[in-house]
Amino acid sequence: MKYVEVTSSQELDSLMRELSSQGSSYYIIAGATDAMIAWKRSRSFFNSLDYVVDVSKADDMRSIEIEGGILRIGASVTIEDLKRSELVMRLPALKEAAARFATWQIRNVATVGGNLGTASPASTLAPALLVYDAEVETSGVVKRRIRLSDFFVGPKKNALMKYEYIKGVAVKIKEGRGAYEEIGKREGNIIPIVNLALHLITDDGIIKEASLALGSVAPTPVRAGNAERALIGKSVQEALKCNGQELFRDISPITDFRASKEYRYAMSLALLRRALRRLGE
Amino acid sequence: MQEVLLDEEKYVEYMIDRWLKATDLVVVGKSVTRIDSLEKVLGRARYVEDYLLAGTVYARLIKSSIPAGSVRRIDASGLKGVEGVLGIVTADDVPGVNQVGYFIKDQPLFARDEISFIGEPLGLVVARSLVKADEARELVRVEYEERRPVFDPLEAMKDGSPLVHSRSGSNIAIRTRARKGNVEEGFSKSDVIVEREYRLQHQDHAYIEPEIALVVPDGDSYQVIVSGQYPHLVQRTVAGVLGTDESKVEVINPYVGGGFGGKDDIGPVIAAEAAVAAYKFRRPVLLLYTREDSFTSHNKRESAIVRYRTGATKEGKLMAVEATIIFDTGAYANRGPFTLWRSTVHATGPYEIPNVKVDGYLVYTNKVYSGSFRGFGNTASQLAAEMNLNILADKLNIDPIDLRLKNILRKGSTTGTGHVITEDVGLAEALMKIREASGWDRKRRERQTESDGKVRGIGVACAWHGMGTSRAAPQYSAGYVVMRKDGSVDVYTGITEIGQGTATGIAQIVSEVLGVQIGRINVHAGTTEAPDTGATHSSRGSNLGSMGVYVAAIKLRWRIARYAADVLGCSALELDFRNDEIICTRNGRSVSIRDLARSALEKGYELSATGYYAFPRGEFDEEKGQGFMYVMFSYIALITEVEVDKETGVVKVKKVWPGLAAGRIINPLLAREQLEGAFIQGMGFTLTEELVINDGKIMNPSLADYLVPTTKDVEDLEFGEPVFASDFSRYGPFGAKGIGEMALIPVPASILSAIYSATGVEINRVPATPEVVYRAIRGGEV
Repeated sequence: MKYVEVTSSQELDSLMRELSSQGSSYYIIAGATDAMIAWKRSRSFFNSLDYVVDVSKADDMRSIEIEGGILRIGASVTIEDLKRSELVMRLPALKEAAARFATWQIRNVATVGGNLGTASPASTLAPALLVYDAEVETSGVVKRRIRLSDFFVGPKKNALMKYEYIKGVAVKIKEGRGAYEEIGKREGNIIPIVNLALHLITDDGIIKEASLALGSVAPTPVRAGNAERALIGKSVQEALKCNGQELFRDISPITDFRASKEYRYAMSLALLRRALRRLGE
Repeated sequence: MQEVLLDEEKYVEYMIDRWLKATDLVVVGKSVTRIDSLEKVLGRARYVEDYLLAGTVYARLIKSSIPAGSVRRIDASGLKGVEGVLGIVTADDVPGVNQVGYFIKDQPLFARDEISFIGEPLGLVVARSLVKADEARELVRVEYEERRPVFDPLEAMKDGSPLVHSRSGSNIAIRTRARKGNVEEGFSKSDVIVEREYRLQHQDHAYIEPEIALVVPDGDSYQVIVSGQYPHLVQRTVAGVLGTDESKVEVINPYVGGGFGGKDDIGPVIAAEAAVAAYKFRRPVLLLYTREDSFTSHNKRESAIVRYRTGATKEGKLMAVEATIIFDTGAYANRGPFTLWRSTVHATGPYEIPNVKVDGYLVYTNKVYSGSFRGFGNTASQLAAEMNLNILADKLNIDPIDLRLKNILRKGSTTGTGHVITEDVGLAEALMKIREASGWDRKRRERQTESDGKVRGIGVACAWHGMGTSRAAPQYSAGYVVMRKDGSVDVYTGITEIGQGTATGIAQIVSEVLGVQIGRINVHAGTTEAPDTGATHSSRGSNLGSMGVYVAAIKLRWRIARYAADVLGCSALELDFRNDEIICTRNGRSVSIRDLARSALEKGYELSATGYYAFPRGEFDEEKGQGFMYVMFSYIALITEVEVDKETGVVKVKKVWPGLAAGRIINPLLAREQLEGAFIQGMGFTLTEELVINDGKIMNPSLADYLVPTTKDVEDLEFGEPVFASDFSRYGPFGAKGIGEMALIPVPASILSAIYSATGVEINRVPATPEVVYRAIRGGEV
């Protein structure tokens, strides 16, 4: 196993082409917070790899920029940088999600690209990025833009091809207000039982546009299209009376050691109400 | 008086009496800064890892992946030729006895012929680096012969269930009982009877420092540096496994990153595991459990089922208690015979009840084994006793505190085993004081208002806990104190500093006795250089555990006093020892301890002393379930205020008021820290910590999924100033009793009773995770 550090996406592109031509195996790390767990589980897996590629110092992947109403977040941006970014204030649900993410120590090293690449159904960032219609910008042997909702293809499975990597995410700035909510057995530093992001654009107290996404309630983080449509045209007070009928068509939670599926259904609705209450204040 | 001066033993008795309720103490009773604070802040405090030396090799566990069966073959051929790997150690390499069972000899050091749980140690891999040891562990293949396991304790109790230990005729390892009066009669005289079943889950200690031991061979001797709680038990266990003398094994128990009982049990085991490797490879061996190993392979708090029936008259007089306590001890009995007995004899709660019938069952299952954990079995029966009382209070329309006060233990009360309490009981005083401090009566009267689905409630629970061990476990202590030529003092004790601060308490005790300032007292804790002091467990560190040192220090004081009396022209009983000086209270003359020590030594006076001490013991009739319990008891009352989010089931503890009756408080600040730490640990046990075991396999063996409280869970928690009742024990230094376990025991019932008062919903299982609370509020439905 060889450790390689790249300082730019150009360098990473050429490395990917080289690895591709050799047919080499590799594992990309930035903060390595997921990699460390994998490494502890199986040394032999890591030892069998040809390369471990560190992208944490790829400079052009470490910035947050805004241009033409689109916010670009580099894959190697840490969660702490995301949390502190003034620009991210314009995406309040994302800002809140970053603030709730793990612990300060983890936020200092964990990255946006890593969180999305791991494709956990319980990702803290994913629901907040989904409500802002995020697109994943990839590079390597291909360059693509993949809608985030298409990027997650299953539990811990993403749409990347071999030798393709996440360069960053592009997010549309929206008017309106957003909120992020999560629930676990304790107050902080949890893998959520359910998490949820909601963004509303209202006009004279009536919901004109609603974006809603949830985590830990389906094989991937999901947008809740049925629930969104049901919210439109209602006041927040009216929306609070919803019984979850539409929302429950958008999700398909399972029972595992963290919670039962029944509790996840109930909490999806409870968190939606909690977010609605905050946005209606 | 004269005979006190002539006889050292009599002087010791005299001083113990004189100091029992003394009000003129200089150091004891003060919030002295911990003696270890500076070195810990500066990173100089040494833990096991800090003892690493050149040439050390590293060991990792080889663990069973099946719950029941035997080892057919351990195949280490994959390690051949792998650079940096020394090899493996298995049951075949144990030179002495391959047995580490604590009371029942049912537990091999390394399993071979009978595997009893997933995660059971089968051996070690040893390599030149930790990374190599980890890699090597993945290359070892184990072939098994599997047997049918049993996981559910109620199944395991049935005839025809698979046996966890094929040679025992039953999965019931031990039965216990407590009997008093006639419960049928008691219930027939009761106007209200409450009967409930409670279930408590396992708890993992989740100490910040996982298990670790370093064993250094030196000729035919061994030096053991281990994260444990009882160096002399480590010494005995290692000597037994190696088949050598105890005097060949020196044990250093340096600072410990959390013990909570867990390391009392596992400390000797990991030391013995590492010792076998050190014996085989003749190299210093460092054995470390990973966090996952810690979860899968060290003892847990038992899971328990408690069926509990309480009867009372309509005036609130408790008439009868009947209980069945079933402890799931997992693969091995370990400390279970003692946790269960403790739970059984304390099952009434701290109340005088005329008719009592309690039966306990310790049941083997093919799961990770149970054992010591702060509260030691008493957590289970106290939860049941206290929750039943709260429900009873509701049905009788009597305030829960009034109901308790009507029945509370007092001096002279008779317990559920017929034991008569001979010492002061400060519980009623503590309970009444926190009732006032918390505004209990006003808060209970006020109607609960609900906002955004959140409701508040306030609850109470009490508990009692015998200090030290009882019955078969010996109740002794020892210590060694030596004054150097400059008047500074070295103190040697087997009591370990596991974060609780007992080393500071011991320094205070010696300082008080000898008048030497704390900064000139060097406490060597956790060492076999001291005589066998007994374990740092069962809340005994500050009482029995310190009695050896206390007695030694008083003897040394006697030796110094006799010389000082000559020098000052004074009677030895007229001397005041303080601030590094000895003063004659009659003629006002004084001498510095520094000067006195030098000249005393030069004149051949003995400036050291050992102290040995044993608790008086009583008989307990196991068959009848009657007899002696403990020499001393501590008591606690705890009021807790919570907020319950009915939309999610999330419970937040808002405020806590502890009232403690634990004898003289040696150091109020340390006592408060014990209360705070125990509350948070108890809160984790009650609300968030859930060990999920499916078919014997722990599904969440990591701190990412086994959720101990973090600072976030307590940042808004207001911890009320502790109330200390004034009761004293003759059997602890200066009248001290113990706190460590005490402080955790009432936490589950206090929180659950606050939830009950907030929502009207009874929760009868722990942990009451958000989902459990949510379901209970919905009547079981989601």
